[in-house]
Amino acid sequence: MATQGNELRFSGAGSTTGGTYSKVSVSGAGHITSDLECESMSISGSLVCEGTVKADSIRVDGSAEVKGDVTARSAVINGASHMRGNFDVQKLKVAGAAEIDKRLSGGQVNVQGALTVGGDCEVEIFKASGAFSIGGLLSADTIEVKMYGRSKADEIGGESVSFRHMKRPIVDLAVALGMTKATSLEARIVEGDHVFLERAKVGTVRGRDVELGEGCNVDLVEYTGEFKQSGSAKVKAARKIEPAEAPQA
Amino acid sequence: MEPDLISKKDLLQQTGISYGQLYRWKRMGLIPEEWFTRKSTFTGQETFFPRDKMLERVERIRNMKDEDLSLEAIADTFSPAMVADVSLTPEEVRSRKFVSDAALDLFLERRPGSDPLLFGELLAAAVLDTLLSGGEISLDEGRTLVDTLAAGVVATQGREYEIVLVRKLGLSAWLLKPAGCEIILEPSARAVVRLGLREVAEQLKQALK
Repeated sequence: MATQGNELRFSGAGSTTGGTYSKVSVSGAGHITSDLECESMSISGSLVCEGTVKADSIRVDGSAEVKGDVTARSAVINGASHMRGNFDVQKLKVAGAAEIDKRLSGGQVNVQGALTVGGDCEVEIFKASGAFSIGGLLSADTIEVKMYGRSKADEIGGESVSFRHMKRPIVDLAVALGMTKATSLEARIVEGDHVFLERAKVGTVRGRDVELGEGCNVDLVEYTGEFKQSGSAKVKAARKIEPAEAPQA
Repeated sequence: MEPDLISKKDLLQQTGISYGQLYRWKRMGLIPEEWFTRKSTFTGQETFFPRDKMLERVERIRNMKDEDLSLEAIADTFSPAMVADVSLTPEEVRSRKFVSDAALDLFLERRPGSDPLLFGELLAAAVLDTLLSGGEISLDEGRTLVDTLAAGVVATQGREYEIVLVRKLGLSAWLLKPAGCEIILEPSARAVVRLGLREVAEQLKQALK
């Protein structure tokens, strides 16, 4: 461990208190015992931080665990990270695995791997190819998911919501043989102005324009605009809701 | 006593706002988290809002949007956070009539001097004004209210708090507590006044503009 100028560098194993730094880099194993604030943070080894982290940019190629809340302008997670508090980030890219125990909030989220959020995930744009699990609400203006594997959220809402099932020959064969479940998305409620779903098992879908593609299983659809469903989508009930005569508030 | 609720579906139908807007407003803090309440209905769990507050809020957001305010600026108005750059001398507060003279005098009695008032202090004076002019509290209770808020307002930064007046056998005490958490009092005590700081802060921010 070395501090040079205003840099904190772990190359072997070391432990230190937090503080304010320009750069923090970890190539060995680092342990920080209190709150940390820095411009950039780069982890190729492993880091455990007992406090909060506030950084301009964070890059995790190794593994990181933060016990307090994390705030960042941008973050790239190629390795594995576990944040036990809230995570607020303007631009997040996950190519490995990210786990956030509480709430994920911010601007753009791009997931190509696995994302687990214990609480709500409320961002501006949510794009994913892969799988996620969100304990509470997933909300974004645009939600665009290419599903590889199974995802779930309690509630999903936004302007445009699209969940597309990606074909994977081997898995599809396993599904056809009844070896694994066909469902790719599970949610209690999905709401949006434009909703497109495939292979989704959802309690209620509400929206203006709703399209249910192959393999959907939905209890109730309520729509105000258009509703389309593919032949293999199962829908127990679909209701068109007429808008009130004159908007009043 | 349950306040009148409106379901999300009915809200959208009545006001004509879209799902995208509603979720965006929620995300940006234009609609307080605690207004979203879940209830079981025969179609499963649904989200409900306090009807009057919600309809009024939608109307206000629309008006502000008509004035070309950005969503960020609107969010600032509704946020319980303090406004950092407010600093007004007692005379400015008096001449611009942010609070009544009676409330300001009582406030200045507890915090003498001509130093400028910061947002937290202005908020305390506004809370005092609201309760005094509503005839809900006595002058003495007003004095202790100022002391309570002076001690606590800074700590409430960014969070939703409410102030409660408890009376028992002619004695009274103030509680400053996070909104949404219940208090259980001994049987002979009564919570006679309850006021959310957020509502007062919102009005104050509007007035300051």
